[in-house]
Amino acid sequence: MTRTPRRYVLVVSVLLGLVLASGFGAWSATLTSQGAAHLPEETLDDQLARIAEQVPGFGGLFLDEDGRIAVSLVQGEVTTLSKREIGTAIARALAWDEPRLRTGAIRLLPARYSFLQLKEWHDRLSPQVFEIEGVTLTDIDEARNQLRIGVEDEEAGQRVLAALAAAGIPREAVVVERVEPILPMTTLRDKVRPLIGGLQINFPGYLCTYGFNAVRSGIAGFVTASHCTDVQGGVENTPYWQPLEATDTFIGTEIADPLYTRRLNCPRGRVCRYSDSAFVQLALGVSASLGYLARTESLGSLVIAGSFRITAEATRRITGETLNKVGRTTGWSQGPITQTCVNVGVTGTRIVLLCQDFVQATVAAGDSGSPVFRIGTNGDVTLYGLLWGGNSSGTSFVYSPIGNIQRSDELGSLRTCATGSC
Amino acid sequence: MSGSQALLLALVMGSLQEAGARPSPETLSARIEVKEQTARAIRLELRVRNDSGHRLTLALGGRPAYNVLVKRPDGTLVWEWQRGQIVQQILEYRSLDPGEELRFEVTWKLVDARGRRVPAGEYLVHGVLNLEPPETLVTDPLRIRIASAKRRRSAK
Repeated sequence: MTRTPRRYVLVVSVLLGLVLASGFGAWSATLTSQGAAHLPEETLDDQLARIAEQVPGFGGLFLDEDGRIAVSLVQGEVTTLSKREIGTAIARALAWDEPRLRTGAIRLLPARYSFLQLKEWHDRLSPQVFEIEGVTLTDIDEARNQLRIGVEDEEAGQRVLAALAAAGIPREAVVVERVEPILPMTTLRDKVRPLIGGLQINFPGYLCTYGFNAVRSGIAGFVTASHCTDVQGGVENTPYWQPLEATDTFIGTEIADPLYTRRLNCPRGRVCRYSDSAFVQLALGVSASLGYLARTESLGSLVIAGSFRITAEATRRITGETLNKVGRTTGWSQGPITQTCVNVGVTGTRIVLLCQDFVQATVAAGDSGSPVFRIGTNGDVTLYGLLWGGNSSGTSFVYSPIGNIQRSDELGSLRTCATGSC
Repeated sequence: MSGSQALLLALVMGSLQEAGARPSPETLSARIEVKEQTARAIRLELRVRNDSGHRLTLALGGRPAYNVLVKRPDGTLVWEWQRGQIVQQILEYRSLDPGEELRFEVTWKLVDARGRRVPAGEYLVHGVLNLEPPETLVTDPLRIRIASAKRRRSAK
């Protein structure tokens, strides 16, 4: 829980929103009360602990599915306090002027663990588990009367379980579950770590979009457009920053960008490749989430509201399929594939890109490098490729298919999916 | 710069702080002019100049960032240089010193969007520089007169 600042309205999120967000329940509740100016700077957990000091066996507090105030108590410990006295203790600790508390109109439920016990475990465990890569949150879940630890993947989950055992905390007192990486309310043009697809990147004199994280020959990095390098084709060790050049925003260096050459199927007098893609090695100490792309609030929005998880790569493309892209200029856009496997001449150059696909969706300058993907029925996504071009009216974009990008004469084999997904 | 060639301004930004000051409507001028006219084509040049006394930074939207539109006097679009072309969707920051000019050249082969030779008459030509989307810098129209094909041949 975060600190509750002085002078602000006390907003007590009773965690059920998180329960709902993670698909664990069909209901949620938010408990709000007007905080007085004299509220101490203590966390909600501290306040609940104060209730527990006054109400022996207190296990937690939340609003139930009917909006009633539910209080869980460890059975056998509370025999002397009435509902009204419990309500009064809660009202006092939370500075919550709620008539139902004054009258004792609360629902009592059995609890297995006291809040103080859960808090002691949580305070001991939290610093340890956050040293495990892939842990996204720790919490005392008042509604479930358990600790809750969010992890990005199964590997992190296994390491958390080992930490629990080492700490002597009962396994049944803790829920370990997969939770998407938590991102602040920022836009695609802000600094975001760990790095995910769809963000703004900067290289000397230019802005483009961060395509997708990838592992290439054991090297962690990301893919962006070949023309989003100092020279399109060939390696110049182009440096990248996210979102803009600053002392603490350097993210990596270009290490692969095959040359455009005359080759089979390349028109006379032109040079060709099968993809407009380059690979950038991540700088030491820069964090990135393999297999995750930025998801904005809605189509057209730049505000990041979560992430898309890549669980597959496209093995075929069909005209009419609805694809998506997320880019720094026009955000998330979506539309149907209108043409597949088109040889496209790049305006103002001798370059022809072979076997590219067109999508009827919004695009504008700065979107080069955007990840292109299809959203599956479960919300996970299949990676289709990398956007590099568009028409002058901004209604249609062109992308290099992921199969082309991974040809042996292009970037070669890449690992792009979220850990454990494909 | 004549009044008819003076700029229309939609402007601009300079989010790379170190690269220069933000342009204002008084600091940039844009115009389009005929470089060469033959019986078969007109070579046009779009010029964008920093008229301020200090360095400016422009964001150029797309590669190439320029475009040329040819319209009839009633506003109907006849030809667009970028039509049917695929533009790399990159955003470039370009610094312009005081008095420095960007120049972009386009050739119009006196055809419409379908590639058919246009009839004789008057046409309006606009130069367009794409900036940070959705901003654009558009010149005032340049009036040009196209003679009939017959006259063009005899003139030759």
